[in-house]
Amino acid sequence: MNDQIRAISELDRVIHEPGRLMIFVLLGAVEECDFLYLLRETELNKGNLSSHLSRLEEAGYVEITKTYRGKVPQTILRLTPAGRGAFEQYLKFLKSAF
Amino acid sequence: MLGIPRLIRRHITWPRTGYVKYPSGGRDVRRKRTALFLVAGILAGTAGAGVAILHHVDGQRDWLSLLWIGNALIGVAAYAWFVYRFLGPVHPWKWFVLVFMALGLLTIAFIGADDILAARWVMGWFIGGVWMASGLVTLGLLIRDQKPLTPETA
Repeated sequence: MNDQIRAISELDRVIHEPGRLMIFVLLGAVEECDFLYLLRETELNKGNLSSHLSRLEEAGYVEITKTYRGKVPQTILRLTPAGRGAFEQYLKFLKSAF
Repeated sequence: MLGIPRLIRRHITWPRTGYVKYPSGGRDVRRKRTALFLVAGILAGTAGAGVAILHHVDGQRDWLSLLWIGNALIGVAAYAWFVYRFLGPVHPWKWFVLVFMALGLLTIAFIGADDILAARWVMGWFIGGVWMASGLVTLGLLIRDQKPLTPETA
């Protein structure tokens, strides 16, 4: 099989899912953001977004910090170094495939 | 009065739009690039001004020489624009080439100020040569990094 085509099969499936890819693109462009920001930008529903984030946290790609801003609970999200590395690797594979 | 926007941000804007913090690195890089671009421009301008003043003082009144020097400066400015707009992010080493160009021009201007007719040719060859060398290195890197298409296996 052509190496370039084979690269597609090596894509990280945790990142490749469209919902999670949106999260990666958004988190990759910022230092950190909160749950609400992602909710607005991705237009996913709360349950979907929450489950994707849990999946990414399990994989060690996203760091989730629960905090308060005044009296309002706030969930801060950021990519971990492993997450950034995996995303860069994902993009590299994707570019080499095309 | 000044606290009103902060009050609005805290109680209205934030809960509706979410919180986001952008990385500060990108802005710093842009600031550094702009500073380098300005420094290179100033160096090139200084070289041109130095030659023009020396030329005027020398009383040769050979305006054609100034035209040649102007061409060399346009060469540096065009290179600076290319590096700033297109090449800097891909080939950061081109910033050093730009500074080298400006410093080289400045050096030639001061060394050759006594014989401006000879200096104008050196300036032209110098700028042209550096442009050419820079382009050749870019081409070499492009060829080196180009991945050959993998032949299909049966």
